[in-house]
Amino acid sequence: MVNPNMQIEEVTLDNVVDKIKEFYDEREWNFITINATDLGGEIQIDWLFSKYRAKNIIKIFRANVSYDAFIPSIVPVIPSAWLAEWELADLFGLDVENATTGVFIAPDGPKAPLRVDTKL
Amino acid sequence: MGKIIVPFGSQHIALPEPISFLFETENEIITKVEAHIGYVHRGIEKAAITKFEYTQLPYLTARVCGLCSITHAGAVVHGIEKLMDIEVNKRIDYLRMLVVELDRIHSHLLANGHVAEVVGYENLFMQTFRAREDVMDVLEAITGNRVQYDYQTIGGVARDMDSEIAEFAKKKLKKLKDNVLKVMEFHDSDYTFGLKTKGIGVISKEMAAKYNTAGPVARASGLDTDVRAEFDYLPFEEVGYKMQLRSEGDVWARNMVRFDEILNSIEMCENILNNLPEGEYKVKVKGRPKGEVVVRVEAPRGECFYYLRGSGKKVMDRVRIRVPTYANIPILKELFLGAKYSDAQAIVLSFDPCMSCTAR
Amino acid sequence: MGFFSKFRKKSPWILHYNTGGCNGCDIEILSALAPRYDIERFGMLNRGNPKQADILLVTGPVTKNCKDVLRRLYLEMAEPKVVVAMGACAHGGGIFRNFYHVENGVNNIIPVDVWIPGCAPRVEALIDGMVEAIEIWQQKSKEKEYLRDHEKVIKTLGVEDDG
Ligand code: SF4
Repeated sequence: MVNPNMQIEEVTLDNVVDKIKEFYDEREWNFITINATDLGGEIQIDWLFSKYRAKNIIKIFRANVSYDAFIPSIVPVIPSAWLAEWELADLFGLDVENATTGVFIAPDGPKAPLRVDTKL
Repeated sequence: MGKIIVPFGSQHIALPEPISFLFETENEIITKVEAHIGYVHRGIEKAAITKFEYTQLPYLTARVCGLCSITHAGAVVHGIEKLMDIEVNKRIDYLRMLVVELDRIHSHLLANGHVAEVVGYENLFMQTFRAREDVMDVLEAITGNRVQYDYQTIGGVARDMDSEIAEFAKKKLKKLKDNVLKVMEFHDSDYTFGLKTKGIGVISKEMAAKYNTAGPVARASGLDTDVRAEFDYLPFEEVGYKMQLRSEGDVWARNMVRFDEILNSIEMCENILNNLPEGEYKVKVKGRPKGEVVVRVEAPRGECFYYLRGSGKKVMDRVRIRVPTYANIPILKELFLGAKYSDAQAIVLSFDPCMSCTAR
Repeated sequence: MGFFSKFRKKSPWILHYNTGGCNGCDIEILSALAPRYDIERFGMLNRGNPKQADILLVTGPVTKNCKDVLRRLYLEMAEPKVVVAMGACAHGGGIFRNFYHVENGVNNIIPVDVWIPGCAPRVEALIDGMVEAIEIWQQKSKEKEYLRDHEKVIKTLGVEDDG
């Protein structure tokens, strides 16, 4: 496998929606998903895009946030992002704008299972 | 007329897997949908970073989904090999490609047969499934199992292929091609099948791009996206890969795109079997995965995305799985609005939804 | 044996439910319905209605979201009924054992009569298990065993018997 060409751009939670709005063109870029990684103490959130009709180009907007940060929603820009955002709220226990919990986790299931300090 | 609420799922004859929709209908027309997609959530992402070592990951992720087990295992293998700086030889690449394409054939045939069944054409379902058994035989001869192959391992494949199996596969593929063409003819030209599928659940190209659809659903609407062309993980172009596009965007077009891809895949498999390079089927593996990488592979249903992160330990730090059905759920929900309830089954099944992938 | 039991034995109806496996087992069930293996030789039909089914075919390790549905399906089926658990993960969880959202196997929720091991089991094994299920079904309907064990079953299911 070749090296994917990952273009990482650091953002903050205040400007991420504007940055994505400026950057995103639905005919050029495919929104892949939103990924969160628990780094222990803080959470790294990636908004990932790939380019249509090009080879190996991946664009990543990356923000490091604390556990109780308020994540703004990008659904006004990308209408299909709601599922990924709800998953953040469900599996990481983050506070996401307009998110509904309980999509994946049953009422008697654990809270925020994917955080490193949740021992299961 | 008042509103009537119709539940669909989680246990339903048309669904092999649990997913449930609550349709609010008015005069047979769906006006509101509520979907519950999380029935199959097991917590695989957590287990991948606590219970399993990186060498065991391909076996775990293969159990994310039975239909595309080879893609999930492959994605993890490609990612970990990248993190450990392992280069594999041509023969391994070709063997992997062969199994991936065979898997695509069997998955697409299953999906098409299933659509035929839910629109009420049971005979076509049976015929499609009969054609499918040939490719299952080939897969069994090559990998040793019918469903869970566990074929790709870190630094190679689990077993080599000799010329006897290659001959057997070639013979079966020829027969398969004839059968597929016959079944495709029915899907293509049958009048009653067309009534139930043509013009149903139409996705325009603009909509497909707006909702970031993936796989055959996108390609049936004319959106030219295919990870095999966009991401170099196996040399698909060498063996004759061509992107298949249709423009109608309805249930019928989604079926036909899958048939086009089956024919293309059969061609690729034959090319691979005729030009299999010599070499070892395993290479030496050293070290531990370190760093982060994203992997995109084309599953039968579309783009399958993995994010892997390791820090030189036995257990990975993060394994994120995003599967094609996950990308197609938002548009599926939009598509129901304004559709007839009697078409709902065909629309769901034409997406070939894989819930165990989506909820993991 | 009553009038209808005679026919039911020849044509048991299957209710299939996936409780969260990888669907590898489910596509093997679909293969079993198709011409190569053709489970209809034994009169078996896959019908999605618990009220009319005789055999409950369960795959998967039972996730927390699925367990209530499974219990309800079991209770909605008429006696005598047979439960067949298919696949390694229906046997105590398999590879998914002790995951945070998994109940470790079918028999933690409902009583199981026939086990079909394998990941995924071959279709031949599935047919074998189903044939065994018919025998157990016959046994049950003759002995009326389901009445004897009734109380214990109700207790494991954790439901109130309103008598
Ligand atoms: S037993 Fe194996 S093949 Fe069957 S559902 Fe479970 S993991 Fe999948």
